Amino acid sequence: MRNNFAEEIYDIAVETFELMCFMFPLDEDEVDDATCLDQEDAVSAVATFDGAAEGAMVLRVSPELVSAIALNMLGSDDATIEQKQGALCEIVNIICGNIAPFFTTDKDICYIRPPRIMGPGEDPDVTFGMGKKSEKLSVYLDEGLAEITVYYA
Amino acid sequence: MNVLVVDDCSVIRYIIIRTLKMSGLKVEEIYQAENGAQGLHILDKNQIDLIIIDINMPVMDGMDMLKEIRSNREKSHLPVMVVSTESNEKRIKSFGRLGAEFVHKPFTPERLRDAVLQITGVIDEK
Repeated sequence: MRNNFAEEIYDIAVETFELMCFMFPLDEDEVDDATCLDQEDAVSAVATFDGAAEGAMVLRVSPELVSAIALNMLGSDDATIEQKQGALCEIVNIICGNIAPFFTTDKDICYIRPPRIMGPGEDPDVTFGMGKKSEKLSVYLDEGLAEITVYYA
Repeated sequence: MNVLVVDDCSVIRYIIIRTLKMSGLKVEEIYQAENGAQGLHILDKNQIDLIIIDINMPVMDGMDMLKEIRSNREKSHLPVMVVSTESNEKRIKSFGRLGAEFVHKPFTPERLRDAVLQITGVIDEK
């Protein structure tokens, strides 16, 4: 495991948002003005992994950011709910897939399971966090805040 | 050219199809599947010239689909492009050993287009 894990996750997330969604992080002086994430309305997607390490990566965003991610990926003015959820799950898949090598050993690799949208009452700390270490970080984008949590053991 | 795009994410399939249409290639039919099993079924029923597959999919993943294609006498020659988040060198080399071009996610449309043009160049040479 690397020492600057959170920083590396942040870099991977930023690259993913830039290349796949054409979304860019706010400058440091803009972050204070950024809107906080309304936890009640937030939408979460998760990908679990196993093999060299067991855990999960949860991406939590506002409904507005989910729409923006889908519309930017599609290059369209409209997206169905299925497309919005699929886009969010794919972003989770890409970020999680790119952090999996952090856990790889000479003997074993990490296997990422297909991502899914979490239920509204599902608490990721309870579902995935019990007995595991975690890294939490925020990515402030022009279109909204993305919160990332990686649980691992 | 007929292309089969296999990815469980409809948005990624859309991005790939949009890139194919803008690549300058003469694409006639584009077939879509959500997993490897569906993809093999479509491959069995249709004339396909290029296959683009994801790895991490439910039901049947892309690696199993790729192995099935390579073990099928009539289809084993088909060019396959793997589009995946995979970063493990051993796994990436295993795609190469099975004759597949690899494109890492996240990708730019240009990287995807270049890989498609490269692999379809192989088709033109045959």
